[in-house]
Amino acid sequence: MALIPGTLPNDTCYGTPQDLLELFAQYLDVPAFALNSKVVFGTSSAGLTADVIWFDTTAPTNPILKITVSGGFTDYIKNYITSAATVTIVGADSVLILDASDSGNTKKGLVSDIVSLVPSPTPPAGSITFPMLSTSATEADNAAKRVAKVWVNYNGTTAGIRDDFNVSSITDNAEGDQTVNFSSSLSGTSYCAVATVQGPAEDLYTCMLTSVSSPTTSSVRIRTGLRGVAFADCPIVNVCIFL
Amino acid sequence: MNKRIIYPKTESGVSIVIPSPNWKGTIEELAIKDVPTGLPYKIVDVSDIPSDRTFRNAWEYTE
Repeated sequence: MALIPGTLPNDTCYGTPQDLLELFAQYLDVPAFALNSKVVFGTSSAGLTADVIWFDTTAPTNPILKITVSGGFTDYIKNYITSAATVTIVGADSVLILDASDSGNTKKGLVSDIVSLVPSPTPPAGSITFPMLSTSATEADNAAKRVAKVWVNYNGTTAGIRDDFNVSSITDNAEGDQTVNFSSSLSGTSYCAVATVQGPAEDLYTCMLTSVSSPTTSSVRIRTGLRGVAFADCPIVNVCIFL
Repeated sequence: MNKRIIYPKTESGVSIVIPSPNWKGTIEELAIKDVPTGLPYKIVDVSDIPSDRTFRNAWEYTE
């Protein structure tokens, strides 16, 4: 994942710790390592003395790391690369870093070079961005509507749940008759419930929404059985609901 | 969770609530949530539920 900038040199970069690690290590030659959700810059680089700087993400559980450098990006570099390096502001968005101990002049870099490495903040086509995680009815920004709100795989002969999402329990009402109860109620009843079964034998076992009760926001009742013959318990029942 | 919730069906017979292994609440909280409002219920051990389902539709709820 590459960095997505704010408007350098003013302020903000976005990226994973590894992104930032690679970027700064390449251009500033400051030892650094990724630690959990942070990037830590060390102090033992040859010829350079830098404070240890911790970049905290504002949302530790979010894989995107946000760095806000007060005073602008060039000021940031000036503040922390001073004792053994010469910093020259080249332009509004670039700074030349020259390490005095580096006779080979290999440790200089331009912020403009860094900026040139940063891709457009526009994500690639098809990316799922935060605004798309809405339940908007607009097709272009409704990724959430394409994700199952409920799914469950259970044993219809015991109503034992093998695994599920957003299911609190299965109610065994009778032979071939179960209710899937949702942990969190859905926002409406116009959902699409898809159900399949594996029968106890190789025959025309099927699954349907019962007419005994209508689907509700908190549950859906399922009937399974041998088509045209009788309701029957099935060892595998799968239910998936989209809304 | 080795507990089950049983309650009488409105159509006759008995319903048995089996908790999800992912359910984080108590069996009592589950009963309040998943037993239809107004119906009596009981919390029983798994071992109290017959394993032979031959006559499942004839099972009845008793106080």
